[in-house]
Formats: sequence, structure tokens, C-alpha cells
Amino acid sequence: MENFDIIVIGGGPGGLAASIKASENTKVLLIERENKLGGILKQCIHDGFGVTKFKEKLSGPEYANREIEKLKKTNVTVLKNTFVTNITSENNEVIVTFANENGVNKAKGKKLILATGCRERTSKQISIHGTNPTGVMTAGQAQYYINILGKMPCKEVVILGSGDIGLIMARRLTLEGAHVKGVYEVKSTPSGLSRNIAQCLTDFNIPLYLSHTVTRVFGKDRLEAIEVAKVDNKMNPIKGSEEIIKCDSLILSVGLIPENELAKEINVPLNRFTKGPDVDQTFETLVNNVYSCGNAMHVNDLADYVSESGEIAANDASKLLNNKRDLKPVKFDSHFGYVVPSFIDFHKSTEKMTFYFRARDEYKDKTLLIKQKGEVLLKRRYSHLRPPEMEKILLTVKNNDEIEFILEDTK
Amino acid sequence: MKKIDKIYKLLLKKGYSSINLEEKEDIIFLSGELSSWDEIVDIGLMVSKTKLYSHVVNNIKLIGHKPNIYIPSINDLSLDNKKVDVLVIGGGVIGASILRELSKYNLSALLVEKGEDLALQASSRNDGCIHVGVDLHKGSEKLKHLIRSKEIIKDLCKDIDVEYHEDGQTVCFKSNLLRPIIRLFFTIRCKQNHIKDWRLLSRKKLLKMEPNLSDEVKFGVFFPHAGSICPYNFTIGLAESAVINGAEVSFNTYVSDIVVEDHIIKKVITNRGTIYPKIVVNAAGVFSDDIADLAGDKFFSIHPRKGTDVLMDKSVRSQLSKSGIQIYSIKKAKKKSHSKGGGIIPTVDDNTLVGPNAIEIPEKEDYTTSNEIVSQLFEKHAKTVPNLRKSDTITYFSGVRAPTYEEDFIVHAGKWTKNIVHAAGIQSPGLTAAPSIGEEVARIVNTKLNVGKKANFNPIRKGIVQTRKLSIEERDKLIKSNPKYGHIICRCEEISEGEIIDAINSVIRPSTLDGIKRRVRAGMGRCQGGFCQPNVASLFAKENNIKLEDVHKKGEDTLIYRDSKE
Repeated sequence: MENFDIIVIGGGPGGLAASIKASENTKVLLIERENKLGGILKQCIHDGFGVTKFKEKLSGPEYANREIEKLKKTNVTVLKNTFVTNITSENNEVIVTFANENGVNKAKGKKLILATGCRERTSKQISIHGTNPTGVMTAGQAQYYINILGKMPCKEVVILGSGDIGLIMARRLTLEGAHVKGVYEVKSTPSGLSRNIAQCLTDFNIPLYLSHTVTRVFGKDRLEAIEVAKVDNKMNPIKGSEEIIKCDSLILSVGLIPENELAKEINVPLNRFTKGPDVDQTFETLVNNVYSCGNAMHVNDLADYVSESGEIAANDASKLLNNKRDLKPVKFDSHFGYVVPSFIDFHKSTEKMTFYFRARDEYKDKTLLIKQKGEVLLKRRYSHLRPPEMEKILLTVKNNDEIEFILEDTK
Repeated sequence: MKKIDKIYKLLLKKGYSSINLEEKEDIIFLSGELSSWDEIVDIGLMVSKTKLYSHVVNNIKLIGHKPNIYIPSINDLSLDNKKVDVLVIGGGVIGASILRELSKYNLSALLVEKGEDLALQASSRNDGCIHVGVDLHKGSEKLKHLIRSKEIIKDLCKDIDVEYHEDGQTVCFKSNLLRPIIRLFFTIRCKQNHIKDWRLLSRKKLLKMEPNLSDEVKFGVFFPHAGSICPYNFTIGLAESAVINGAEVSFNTYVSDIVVEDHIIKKVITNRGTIYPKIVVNAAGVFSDDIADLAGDKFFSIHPRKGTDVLMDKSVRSQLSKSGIQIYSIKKAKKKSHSKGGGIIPTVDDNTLVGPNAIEIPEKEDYTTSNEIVSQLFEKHAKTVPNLRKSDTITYFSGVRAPTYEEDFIVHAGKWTKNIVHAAGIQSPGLTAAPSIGEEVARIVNTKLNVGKKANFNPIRKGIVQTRKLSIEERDKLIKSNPKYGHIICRCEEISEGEIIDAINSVIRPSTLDGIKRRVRAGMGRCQGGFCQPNVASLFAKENNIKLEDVHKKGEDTLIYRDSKE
């Protein structure tokens, strides 16, 4: 069994950034289950990646390649086509068991960084009923078929969910010759970034139907039609508003779920708002020496933030410290979808900590207040806040106590 | 008063004056038209309950209903002029079990199945429970076959390399007042039904087994010898064992007619040619009454009863005990129900099933699901285990049971037609009873053909290795012998390329991606094939030497790729 300082699981943007950063002064093992590094970036051939990190617009594969080139200059041990079958954690060490074409082996690490990404919610997780035909697929699956394999899985398409991948796929499918009949969104506001609504739907005359959902699917073998209905303000379908639409494919962009099956194996507590682990300001989970980053920690809307979180985790992990922890919670009021991190460890630096948050609803003219025992630590005005658009702030906290995020109307 | 007049009077009393009655020997035939399916089923059950006749044939039509039955579109002569000793109709667990038992004899056997694979209907759409049979009645065919099956099923599973788990099942009760009655009831019932091992458990003891049990549960009855099996793998294992011993299987083969002369089946017409069997075995599940009808031997009716199950994420299992849980309230016990109330059932693959319910439907292949039913299942079972969450759902599915109006199995030779054997009306505990039903049918066939058993029957069939269940050492050794077992394709279920290739090249080859899924679980997990399906499709195309464009997901018209340039 080989010993490492840091073991990183997952070779997407989070794991790549973490490995590169950690390799500056530690011995790193990076484990990736696919045969290529880059994670989901490999199939995201549209541009818009890297505006923050590289100060230019790149495609997904270009962004990934820049990181892969950097990684090549390090001495990180990379295992591809390698699947982690088990993790154990004891005595301030983690043991990772993995299988690949050479057999089953183990590696020991002082710190573990979980960069396991996320997966798409499926039709059954959003209660789509009726028959169970071929042609109902997730947006990421359709994207893989088209962009990686060069195969068209559909002709007459309806997209459910206005998440970013759904919007991008609406454009992509149209460019490849499919007929996108419309994008349906159960919420009364779009789930994707505003720029994607404009560039992917408006520019291609693809209609967006808000407050609508798919209630049933038809067709024994192949999807033949779907039933859509308007929903009320509690997102329940309104009787009598049903409409049948003929199509051969239903593409779902209905949310992403952080993938934390390995984290669960070592009893890492998960946060019910983010579905990722509870973490401190260095993204160390509540299990000592185990870190989380990227979409495994919470679903990000930009790869740039994923890379950033990998670096933050690796920066702390590579100090190889074993301090006791002094955790204080980060609270937030009901205007927030979530705030990451959910704890501050006062045995670590509390200078310029990175916080990410999402509003729970669309708001106009709000003021963010971060308070500690009634004292305002930070105040910032937002003219608009939307759940799909993640906000980032840097915060320094001097006193060892819990803090609270509050959103108030701007006066 | 004559029997038929009694029935006539009974129906008249209930207001059904338009139903025609006819009797032939000990069988009553009902015909006519009604506009409510529930009423049609009720009439059948009501007539059966009088016990004046041994079987009810309910031909009452539902007004406006046109049956929607899948018929394969293929037409060829691949089976034309085929002569076999025994033709088995139906590729479910019953047909497969019969085929394997037949393959022990000196005869030729062919199984035809209209779908593209085995176990496509009730045999893959059930909860995989191996029952102890506490709910079965004395003297029933169900009980007889269950008792025999329980004697042989463990060894059978070992022989055909199919996983069998015996983790037990608990029936929970909500009132301590019931304890003395329940103790008495189960003492008598268990003795009668040959259940040697059962325990009455207090809430305290139940909580040790099941820490998440609802406050409502006061005590329970634990049956340690209840178990679970993967029903489709069991079916595939049985059929492959039969094929290893010389039996044949033909898919996409639909029986459209049976030619009978002088009460003897002369030939069977299919979409793949005319077959000349000496004996026909009817194991057609929900269609067994239709096959009996074609053979001039319809002395029973099937009334389809649909059930829905929800498949939960593996993470749910870790919060529950290993054994299954069923809850019983006194209200439900009083109401006569022919399908048990469903429960929280562990599968051999560490998932959890919630369900099933039971609804009478006119359509034999209606596998649709609905939000209402799934919500009801959660509401009901959340009472037993409150932290059962809908958000942990992986998928849901419906199946259709095939009961007769007598609610018992029919395992015997034809009534009027001489060379047919029926294995019909098989519903719960049909999966458990399948081995015994197979034995019995083969015995009946042998009394007609008198061929005797083979000397060289090979009971052993090797299943596909499950790398995720091997020890580290075994797994390492296997990978060193074939590195493809170290390359994981399906990440949710941890299925390697080697396993998928084994499935593609198995004794009965799958023709679709779902066929691979049933054999090795690739695509069965929480992402539902979102990640692995393209890779599985590529392997399927490569191993079968076909183009990716020709790979099907499930049945006909399910090509994965649709070229937009067409």
C-alpha cells in the first residue's frame, strides 16, 4: 500500500484544481473513474467557461485541457479508469480501496478531498408517470450522445426544466437538426442563467412555458406523446389545463444532486439544504481530514467556482495540520436557499473566508447583513437576487462565535 | 333448485338481469355486457364464492373496451414445421421452471415467448418475496406447491447460481389486545401450513431488529425463513439451465391460433411458423385463459390485478433491518383480500421495495404508474417506518397479477382437450411455488409421454460473477485473470465491463440493453443509466457485431439513436 499526503477522488474541474494546488508541497494521488480527466467539462462544448479563472471565454474541453496541462507539470500520481470501492477513516488517516485493470489495491492518505461531482435528477425522481418508454432522458445524457458520440437520440423534442444544461441542449439540438417544441418550467421563473435564456432560447425562437409541468408520458416502447399542464402557485397541476404534445423525446433538466455516496461510507454528515457535506471555511467536512469541493459540496453554476473551491480545500489540506477543531455554525434566515460553508472553524484562519450563497426566491432591492451577536460584520446591497445565480462574498470574522446571514429590504 | 337457477336468482337479487348463464359439467359460463369493470369482477367473485361450480368462466364484456395487447411485428418461418414433444407457452418464471424440469426427461422441449426476453411481465414486476405461506388456506394448490418449493428452492438456487437470501419477514400489529388471538391463530395456522419456525416478538424485541419502527406498532410475528430472490435472474437461471440440457427458447414468438381436432391439439400457429407439438403447456400468465380458449379448453378466467411497487435507493437499506416488514391492522385482516397488504421488502441487491397495492383492471398489459398510487404507498408504509422518504425513490413500476376467480393455482391437465397441461392462475406466492409447479407439470407430461428421466441431466448452471460482492482477494485475482473485470462501467451498481460482456454472451443472449440490465444490473441504479447507457450500448454493438444505430433499449421501436437526417 502506497502512502500519500493527499488523496483526491474525482478528476473534474474541482479535483484537478485541488490536485494542482496540493502538489505544490505535498505528495498527491488523483483517482478518476473515467478514461479521461475533465469530468463533465468534456461534453460541454459550448463556451462561457473560464471568464473568472482565465479571464477569457473558453469551451468546456478547453478549460479542462488548461488544467490537465498544468497537472502534467506536477508530480501528482494520476490513476484513470479507477473506481473507488471503499473508504475507511481512522487514526487521522484514510485508506482508499480501488479497483482498476491492474486489480484491487489500497492507498493511504493523511487527507482526503472528495471531488465527486453531481448527478442529474431522473424522471422518476420528479414523479413522471404513465408508461416507461424509451426517449425520456436527462439533458446530460443527450449531451453525451451528441457531443461525445456524435449520435442523435431524438427528433421531436420537449425539454422539461429550464436549468442551464436544458437551455444549452435546446440550442444544441436545434443546431443539430432536431425540432425543439418548447421548454417547460414548473416554477414561475426560469431556473437557468439569464444569459442562457437569451442565447439559447430567444435567439432560436424556442418558446419557454413557465408554470407548466409534464404530468404523463405515453407510448409503450418509444415515447409517442406527453401531457403537459399548467401548475398553480403550489406547483400542483391545474385540472382542465392538460394538453397533449406529440414528441419522440423528453429531455429533463430538472436539477442536480451532489454525489456523496463515498462520503456517506465514512459517515460524513450531509447538509439538508445543499445535499453536500457540512463544511467549514476550508471545506473540511465534519469528519476530520476529509474535504469536499465543487459540485459534490453544493451545485455550482460556474466551473470557475468549482475550481476555486478545490483550491481552497487543497490549500488547507496541504498544510497537513492535525489541530483540534473549534466549529461555530453559520446561520441564515428563510430568504436563503443555502449558505456554504455552514461552519467556521476558529482554529483556522478566519481572514477573507469565501462564502457562497443562493437566494431562495427571486428578490429585488435586498440588503445582505452578516451579523455576529447583533453586530453587523458586512452589509451589501443587491438590486436583484435569483436562485439560479450563486453569489460569492469574502468575509473576515474576528470574534469566536456563530454568525448569521440575513436578507432585508433595502430602505 | 338447480345450481344454475341458484346463480340466476343470486344475480337477479343484485340487479344483474342481463347476464347470460351457461353450464358445462362443473363449470359456469357468464356472458353479457356491463359498463363497469369492478362490477364484472365482483360478479365473477360472487359466483365463485357460492362454490356451486369448480370454476367460473367470466366472459362478460366491458362496454367500449378494446384490449390493447402487444403482438410482435416480426413474421418469418424460423419455426415452421417444427416438431417437438412439448411446447411451453410463456417465458415467465413458471414457463422457465417447467422447461427446466422437462429438460430432466427424455423429450424435446421448446418454450415460446412473445416478448424479446424472459421475465418481461409479472416475473420481473414483483417484489421477489419468498413466502412462508402463513396466509394460505388448507387444501389449496397454493399451499401444496409452496410447501414443496420451500423444501427444494435453496438447493435449486445453489445449482443454478442464483442468489437466495433468507432474512425473514415480520408482520406487525398495532394493538396489544390482539396478542392472545394472534398467538392462537398463528399457532394453529403455522402447524397447518408446515411453518416450523415463527416467533411472537414484543415491541422491545422488534425495535432491536428495526430501530426505526413507528410508535404505532405494538408487537409482531417474525418468520425467520421468509426470504428474497431476484425474480428475473431466477427465471433466466432456470431457463438457461434448461437450455444447457437441450431445451430451446424462441422469443418474439406469438401464438395466434391452436388447431384442435377431436379434443387433441394438432398444431400451434405462430408468427414464426406452424409448430407440431405432442403436448402443449400453458404457462401464459395473464393470457393463460386466452391460450386455454384457443385450445378449446377454457374452463377458467383470469381477472388482471395490477400492483405498483416503488424501488428505493440502497442507502435506505442501511437504515432498516435486513428482514422485510408488513403491517397488519385488524381492519384489514377482516376484509377479505386475495393479495397481501404489501410491505417494506428488502431485495437481494440491497434495495428496498415499497408496495405493492392491488387494483382490478380490464387491461392485461397496463403497466402504467400514477402519482396518486405512489403517494398512497408512501402514506401507508410510512406508518411502519416513518423515515421512509419519497425523495429516495429510484424508480417505480407496475405489474399485473393473473388470478382466477377461485384465487387458486390451476396445475393440471386439460379438462376437455387431452394434450394440454395448464399452469394457470399463478399469482402470489407464484414465485416461491414455481419450482414445485415445474416438477408437477413435468410429471403430468411424463404420464402422457412416458419417456422417463435422462441419465445425464446436468443440474449446474453458472451465473455471472458479481465483482462487487467478492472479497478483495477474490476480486483482485479475477481482475488479474481478466482486466475487464477491473473496469467499472456502471458506477451506481459497480458493474464491470467483464460482467457486461458476460451478460451479452450468456447462454440465452439478451437482445436489448434492458436485457443486459436484468442480467447484471447495469443501469439499474440511482442514475438509471444516465451515465453508463452509452457505454453499455457500445459494448453491446461490439460484442454482437452490429452498428450502434441498431441497438435497442427494450422492445421494438426503441432504437437509442435517431438520425435527424432521415
